[in-house]
Amino acid sequence: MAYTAEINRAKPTAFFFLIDQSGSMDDPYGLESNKRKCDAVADVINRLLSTLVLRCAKGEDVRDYFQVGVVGYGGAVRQGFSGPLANRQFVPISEVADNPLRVEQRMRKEDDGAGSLVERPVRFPVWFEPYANGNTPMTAAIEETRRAVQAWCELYPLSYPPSVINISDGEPTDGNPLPAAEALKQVGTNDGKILFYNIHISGSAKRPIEFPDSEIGLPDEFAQRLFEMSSVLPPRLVEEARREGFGATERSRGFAFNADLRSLIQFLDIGTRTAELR
Amino acid sequence: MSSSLYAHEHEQNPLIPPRRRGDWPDAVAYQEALQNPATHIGDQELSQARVATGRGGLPLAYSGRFAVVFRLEMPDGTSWALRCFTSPDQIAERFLHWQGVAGYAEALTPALVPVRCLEKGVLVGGRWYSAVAMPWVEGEPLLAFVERNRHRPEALRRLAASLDRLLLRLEDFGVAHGDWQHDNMFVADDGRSVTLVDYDGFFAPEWSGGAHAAEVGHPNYQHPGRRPEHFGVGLDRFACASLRTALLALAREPALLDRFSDGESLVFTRADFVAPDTSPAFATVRALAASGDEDLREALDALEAACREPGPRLSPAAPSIAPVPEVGRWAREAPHRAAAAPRSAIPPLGAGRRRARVRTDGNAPGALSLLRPRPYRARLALEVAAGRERRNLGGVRRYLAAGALVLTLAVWGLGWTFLTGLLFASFGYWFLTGFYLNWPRKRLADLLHEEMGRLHYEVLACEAQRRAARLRLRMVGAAEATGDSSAPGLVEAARARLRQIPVSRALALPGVRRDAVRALRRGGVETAADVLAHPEGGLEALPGGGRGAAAQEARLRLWGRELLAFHEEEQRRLLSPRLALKAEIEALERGIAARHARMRELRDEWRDYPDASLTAYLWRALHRADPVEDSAGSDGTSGGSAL
Repeated sequence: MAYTAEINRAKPTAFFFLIDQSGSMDDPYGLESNKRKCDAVADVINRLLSTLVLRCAKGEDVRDYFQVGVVGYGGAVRQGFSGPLANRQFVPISEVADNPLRVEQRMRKEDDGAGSLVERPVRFPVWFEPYANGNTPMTAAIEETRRAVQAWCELYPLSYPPSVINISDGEPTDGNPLPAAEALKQVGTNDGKILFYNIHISGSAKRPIEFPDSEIGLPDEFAQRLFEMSSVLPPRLVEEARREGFGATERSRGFAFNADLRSLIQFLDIGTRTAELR
Repeated sequence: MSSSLYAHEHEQNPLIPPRRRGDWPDAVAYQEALQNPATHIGDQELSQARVATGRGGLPLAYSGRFAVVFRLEMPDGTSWALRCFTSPDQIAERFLHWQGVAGYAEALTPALVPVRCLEKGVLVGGRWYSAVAMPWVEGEPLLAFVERNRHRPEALRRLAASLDRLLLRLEDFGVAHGDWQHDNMFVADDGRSVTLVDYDGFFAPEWSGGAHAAEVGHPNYQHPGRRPEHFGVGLDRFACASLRTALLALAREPALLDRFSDGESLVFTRADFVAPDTSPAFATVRALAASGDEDLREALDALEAACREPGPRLSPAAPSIAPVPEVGRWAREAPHRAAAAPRSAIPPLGAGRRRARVRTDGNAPGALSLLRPRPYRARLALEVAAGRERRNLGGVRRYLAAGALVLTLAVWGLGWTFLTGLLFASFGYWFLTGFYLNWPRKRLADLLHEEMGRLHYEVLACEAQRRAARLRLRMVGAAEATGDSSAPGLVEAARARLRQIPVSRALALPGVRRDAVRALRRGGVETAADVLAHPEGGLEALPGGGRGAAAQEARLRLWGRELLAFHEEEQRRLLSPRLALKAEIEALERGIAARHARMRELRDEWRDYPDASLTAYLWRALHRADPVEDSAGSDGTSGGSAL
């Protein structure tokens, strides 16, 4: 059965993030927010990297159950990691843990448990910086990803297949990404084809559509194309999505349209759940 | 992302834990919270701790499947492990499970570590989440110990022997840990002592009869046929056999570790257990054993035989001298236990005991009293069968013979002097403490008395608590003389909950279509509260034509009303001190009744219990006509040398 390989240090799995860094990511995220989309996405990716690190952490020892890659596209396709991790396609999670760009002190406003809001400083590791400039070469980014992921799969043929997650807010400017996406989805390991997730983040206050199982009801041709590009969810993830309260069916795809911040986080959380870790 | 991640939680009532998994704190959220232990740990003592940090000053975390553990360093130099739950699945049951484990953990130190359950554990996003604290186990994880000592066969053999003793100790108590593996076992004292952590899969006798394990352990150490239904004494036997075989093999050939271990196992993995005949690991160890290592051959044979069985072999639940769980637990558990059927054809003694207890709660049919099992007598039978009584009596016979000889010689040589008196007294003292008090019959009789005494004091404590609760109830009653269930605050709070339930949840109802929910959203109906707020017939936007729409509307309204009623009830339960007090009193009363029933049972058992007096002991030790006891002579040395 596909998507059941146990993940261990000899057979790690990989996460590859494609982040839209085009000029439009400079716009505010949602109507009520004063945060730019690129900032919000960078925060979410940084937190997700923390989550992935912690899933593998046994004290000082971070076990290499995962490898992570980040690619940004805005104007051109560029590496997402900078600093000590620059120019690396896949980085073992222990190296990610050891090499954040910096650990920021952020002020966090929260309930003190008795109903009043207090502010306190919190350490927040940062690996990925926000950036927004230029057009949207999504097709080129997907092709680049395919090369990287194919090489990875040849290295780890018995592993749980890599998950590729594309976060974007607009239409690509370098042609139809569908053929490139189809080619990417053909790549895989013995345990199954790679899982390609697409998240379209919204600038509007419209309700998001998550894990749709047909293109009927999607607002436009672009959304339908993103739907077609996305992988069908494996049964285990359908179950996870249902448990989170999404109306997923066995034909649901890993696609979210008009995702707000909350559904973006939830979607990523489901998308990075894999077989059992040991 | 700052506070916006958890912003939605501020609107909710902090007393009610969130239901959705997405709202539950993950490891990162706990890590963030514990950067300020003073304000974010609910326990007075532990909140003074410093959290051990690693890279970038972030709290060091140890991730498991259901939980993440942080290390707290107290000002007095001690360390604690704080275990935070990372998934809301069955959280109430799991917390109760840990509370149940606590009594055993205390009694079984140092094989286990004491557990402190914190209902108000860690503050995340304005809400308290329960957690479990344990003293930090010093020692080395098993795999690290083996790697460090791979060239010291005596240390590995000593560890193998310690594992054997550990298994015996757990089984003696009628419990099982359920997940022996390299990350859960800490070795200290050069292999002489092993401590187990992580009690998610722990089995205790009061959970026998239908309960399932919350997890099935690390696959590289468990029988490949193990399922959650396998839950009983003997759960750790397979892991013990596989670890023992691996350790004995490594003691002969350290290179096996490099060849077969992938960091998640020692020598064997699940694949080897599935097919022992074709496994290279088994073949290599078999060749090693053939070179004349009897212990290894025996261990390997046992492991291979266990692999060929369809699943792990468990004992029928053995009667155990269980510590009585805290107030209220009996009461909560008794009804399920009564309903639960025994799992094997041989009725487990423990389960039967519980059935009997529940019957005595109500109207016990008298005819059944003959069948009522006697846990202490059954335990005694087990000890006799295990040869402990035989060894004890054999030992004392030799001791008495030797003592009589020495005393006779001393009196003959020295006459009655102070020295011979001292000799006499010390022989008598050793006789009492070394033999008589260890006589299984006497030891169990003492334990039986002890349990009776403890129950007596627990009943007194429960009664005192009940008195206090009744007093408080009277005071609350006076304060809220008019406080009834229709208080506007309750309904408002319930409606607030409903405003957080998206209408898309209604998709789970039969007959409600996907497009209906879309239509509702278009019409501005986003949450369950909106459904109720809409005027009758106002949901005409629903697709499916006149009757279909009406049916869907009726269904949706019913759904909304049921949700409202449910949440009102929940608010009432949580917010009304009266009801909480009444429930507390009821729980206490059930606890008292259960303890009375247990005491009646113990008194009955005491009536039938064989004579455990010193006279009876001497008579049994010196009466040699019994053929069973004659055969004991050969084996008496072990008892004698134990002195």
